[in-house]
Amino acid sequence: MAGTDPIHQFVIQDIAKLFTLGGDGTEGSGVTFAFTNSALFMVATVAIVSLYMILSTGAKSVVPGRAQLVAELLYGFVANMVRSAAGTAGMKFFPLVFSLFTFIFVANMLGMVPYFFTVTSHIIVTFALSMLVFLTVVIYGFVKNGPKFLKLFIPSGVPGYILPIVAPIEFISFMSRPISLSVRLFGNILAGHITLKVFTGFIVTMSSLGFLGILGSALPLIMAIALTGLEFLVGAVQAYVFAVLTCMYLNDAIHPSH
Amino acid sequence: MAKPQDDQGQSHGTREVTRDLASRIASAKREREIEDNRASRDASAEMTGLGRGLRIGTEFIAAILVGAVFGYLIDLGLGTSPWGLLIMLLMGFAAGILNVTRVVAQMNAASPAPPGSDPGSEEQDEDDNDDA
Amino acid sequence: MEAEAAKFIGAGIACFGMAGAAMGVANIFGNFLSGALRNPSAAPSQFSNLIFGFAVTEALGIFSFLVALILLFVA
Repeated sequence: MAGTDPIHQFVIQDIAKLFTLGGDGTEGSGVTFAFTNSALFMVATVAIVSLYMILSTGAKSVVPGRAQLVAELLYGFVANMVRSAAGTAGMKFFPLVFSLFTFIFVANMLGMVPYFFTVTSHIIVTFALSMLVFLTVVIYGFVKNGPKFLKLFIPSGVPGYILPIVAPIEFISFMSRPISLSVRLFGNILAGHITLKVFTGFIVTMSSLGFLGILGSALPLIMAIALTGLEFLVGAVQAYVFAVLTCMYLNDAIHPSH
Repeated sequence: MAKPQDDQGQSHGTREVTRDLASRIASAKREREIEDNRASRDASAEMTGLGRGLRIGTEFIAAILVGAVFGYLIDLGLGTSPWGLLIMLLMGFAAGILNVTRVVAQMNAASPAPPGSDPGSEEQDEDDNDDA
Repeated sequence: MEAEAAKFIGAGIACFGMAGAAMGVANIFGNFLSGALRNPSAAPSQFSNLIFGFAVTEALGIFSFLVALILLFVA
């Protein structure tokens, strides 16, 4: 059943062991740092994004070619998103949002290639990304607004006597953002890939049942094809949602009163 | 590009052409703006049902979990067990509801009900009552 | 039976209460949807009532979750 195990695609394998911290030198002790398949695909994602952007915009022609047009459209799309959600003041965070969007987008698309590893299907990766956003919001908010940033937790028009109840609620609501942000991306990608794998596994098990099984395996095949299309959509939409929510949270840091 | 040695009639013609072109560009820009607006609205409305459900679910659960973890940490630090967990979990629950209402309000604002969806006239309502 | 085992069993039983909350929430949203489809123009005005009903119902489920958590981590 190794071929149809739906979880097997998420296993992290060491490609090259780098070094070991601590431990007493025996096998399995200490913390081993290794170059894993997850790291490989992260590097590949970053390399694809940067190479594409550098090569396609290198010509800087006034009338853009196809590759440059796509790069410019991508720029315009993210720039519009940032401006509409965080205002012109948010444009200083454009590099962050653009990097996040293209990283998640390309990682999701790479994950749709058979036998490739999906970086965003591990919650620690998405949690690291969302903590990056969260810490950016908190640190920038405090640096720019000082203690006035805490006004975020005090909704306007609330009488003073219920503030002790409302402020902690707002605080928890604020603290839950990185968790919901990371769990959403992780859950969508993980659930989609497992569903895809389960349906393609049905094809294998059914077609080994003889002639009728081969006929019947057309049903999960159709389903798998449809799911593949849906997964591409989900990957793109989740990258978009992550970027939009990043812009909205950055907006809170830039204009803390709401 | 009109050359300088063009005669009167020719320049009149080009002016006509350029005015036509300007109006065409303006109308194309208007159309594109409408298209853009529709596209941006679709992008948020296009979120699949699963995506929307997951979004609301995670917003709700995440707030409760954060509240519970805070309460547990407060208990651990101050030794006020079990009151920190109790109170903070309920606070987290309230924060979850707050999150959900915000997300739903934002979704409703992003995709307003189509103008064609009329509430139906009085008579239809009475018909409904008869049916029931 | 050991006290530790009884705690886990108790936490599991406490989670049954969430099934009731699930039924209640489903009831509320189902009825809201059927009402909203009959009269869509009145639906937005009842949104706060919907959230209120959802909050009260879900709070009862949260109580059982709370009992489970207290059994697991505090008691």
